[in-house]
Amino acid sequence: MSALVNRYSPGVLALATRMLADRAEAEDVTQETFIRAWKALPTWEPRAKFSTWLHRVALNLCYDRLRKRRESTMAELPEQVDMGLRPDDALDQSERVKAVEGAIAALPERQAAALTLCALQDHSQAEAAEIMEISVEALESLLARARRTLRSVLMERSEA
Amino acid sequence: MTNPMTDARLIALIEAWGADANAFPETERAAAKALLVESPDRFSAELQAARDVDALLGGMPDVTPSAALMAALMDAAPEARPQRRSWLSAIPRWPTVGAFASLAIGLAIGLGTAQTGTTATTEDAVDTLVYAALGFDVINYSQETAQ
Repeated sequence: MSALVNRYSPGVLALATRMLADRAEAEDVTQETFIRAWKALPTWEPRAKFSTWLHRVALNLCYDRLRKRRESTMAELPEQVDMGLRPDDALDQSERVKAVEGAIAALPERQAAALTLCALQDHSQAEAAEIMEISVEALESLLARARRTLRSVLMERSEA
Repeated sequence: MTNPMTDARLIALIEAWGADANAFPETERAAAKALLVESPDRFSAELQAARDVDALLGGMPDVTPSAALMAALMDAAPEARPQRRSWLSAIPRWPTVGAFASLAIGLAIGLGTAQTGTTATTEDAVDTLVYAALGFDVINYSQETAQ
């Protein structure tokens, strides 16, 4: 069991952290994911790689939380946050990280998931597509849109 | 056989997968690289834009679980069932014991009845027998000792 925790918890936590931009919530999702895994293990049938299945569970839990978050904040005015990197941020790595984290979390959830799985984690294209239950072509389209938005939010504003 | 790479397709690949062609889908990677080598300047704007995003993403720190989280995950794990000892495990490993006993008896008889003035040939034969019984590759062992 500890081998599974050591091997997969960093990836699951990283995915949830990038998706939710909230460490405490990400830890909750990680715990819930593993509780589901422990329950599923006795009857586990390897229809997919264990890692793929585990990340899919985590991703779906993230989607659920984002949906609930959206519903609960629907009545409130959305907070407009300027996530553009200012030129003087260039030397401040922590500001840069915060800006990128914010920009990723502000992406549509499937774009955020595609970007996190492919660009921030070491999942192959096929595995990322399998986790998201989409084709590699659809994954590519999500990635292109995510990267375009990220660039426009983080770079072009700072260039202006 | 790969499909010919068009400018539009290469730009789409750069926009999705970034500036590093090694991240492109394997089936299109070679053709994409060939086109990039053929006309490096034609895609410089797209490559630069992709590099900017790659640099931002590349600067993201790893997320590592805290010790408390790891402990909580382990606490939630089901207890490993104690493995039942199979009755087979109670049987001593007689074949191994037997092999060593045979080797010892054979060596004792062989060495006891051997001529006192052993020739190099009989020594080699005994060495070969002992090394083989101990699992050494005699040829390699001889070469190594010679070096």
